[in-house]
Amino acid sequence: MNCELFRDRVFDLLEGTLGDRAPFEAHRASCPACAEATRGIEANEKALAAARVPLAPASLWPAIAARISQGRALPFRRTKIAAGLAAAAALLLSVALFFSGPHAKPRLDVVIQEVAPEAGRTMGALVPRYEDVDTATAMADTLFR
Amino acid sequence: MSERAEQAMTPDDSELVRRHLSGDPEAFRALYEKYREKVFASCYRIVGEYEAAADLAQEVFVKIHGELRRFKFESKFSTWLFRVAVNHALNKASEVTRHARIHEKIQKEGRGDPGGTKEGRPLDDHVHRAIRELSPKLRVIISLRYLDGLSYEEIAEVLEISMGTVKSRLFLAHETLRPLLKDVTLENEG
Repeated sequence: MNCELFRDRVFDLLEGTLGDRAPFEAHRASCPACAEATRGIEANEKALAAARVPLAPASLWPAIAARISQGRALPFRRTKIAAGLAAAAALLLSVALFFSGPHAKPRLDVVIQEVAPEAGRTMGALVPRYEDVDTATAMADTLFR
Repeated sequence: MSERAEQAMTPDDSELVRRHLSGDPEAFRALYEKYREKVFASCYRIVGEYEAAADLAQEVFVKIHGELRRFKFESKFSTWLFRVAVNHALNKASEVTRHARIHEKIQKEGRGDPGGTKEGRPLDDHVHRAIRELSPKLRVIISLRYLDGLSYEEIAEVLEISMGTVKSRLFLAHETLRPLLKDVTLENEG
């Protein structure tokens, strides 16, 4: 018996689940460090058992139910949706401005960069494959329908 | 009706999960009622602050609601629940513990009420302060063992670690707590 083995099985010793306690009891009697560790565990367990944890607040369920009923629409996600819609609105505006002018079609990213750089970044993340104004307009129209 | 009698009449967890998955809106509420105190208490022991524990418990139940369809009925529901709760709490623990320590400092300086333990018994405060000195992983072991009353096998299953690791972490937790709890134990026994 050594300290390492004793410590591996000390919880079994305290719970009385060891088959043969004698070697462990003998080690505890002869090893002040292991005896102290064992006494410490017993004292800790008493303190831990005596300490109370407060009850859950009554408002917990209403808060959970509200979040579940929102389809787990977390604030972060709502923010992303709002950003997407804002980007689509900015895109429609830029498309309308573009068609009201006589010049040739510029690339979509140029238009957005001029009108709303922030919306452009968001739109770019949402629909990176839309390269030209006509396709993006159709996409925006779908979004708003 | 007593709490024990109500529990005896409650359908088992697997049945409640099945009912939830088949669309029964009351089934999840029943699971919540059965486990709310244990989940809240686990969160409280891990993060050590009342309001943060409430937020965390809320997040855990929302997460569980969203992930119940992944439950495979291969383990006990309670084991799966504790695993989700503990992993979520551990992910948040360092952030919340830092926040709690700031609040504790404010309380000590007499500039506000941090919410704290909602208790006030010196023993409770002393024990919870001592637990907060442990690393999150050791806090979890202490919480699962002495609060939730899980066996070593169940703790190993929840944390997906070996029994040997459970016992060595538990021993280390006790060694860390020993000097911190020595006085409180003596005070309350004297």
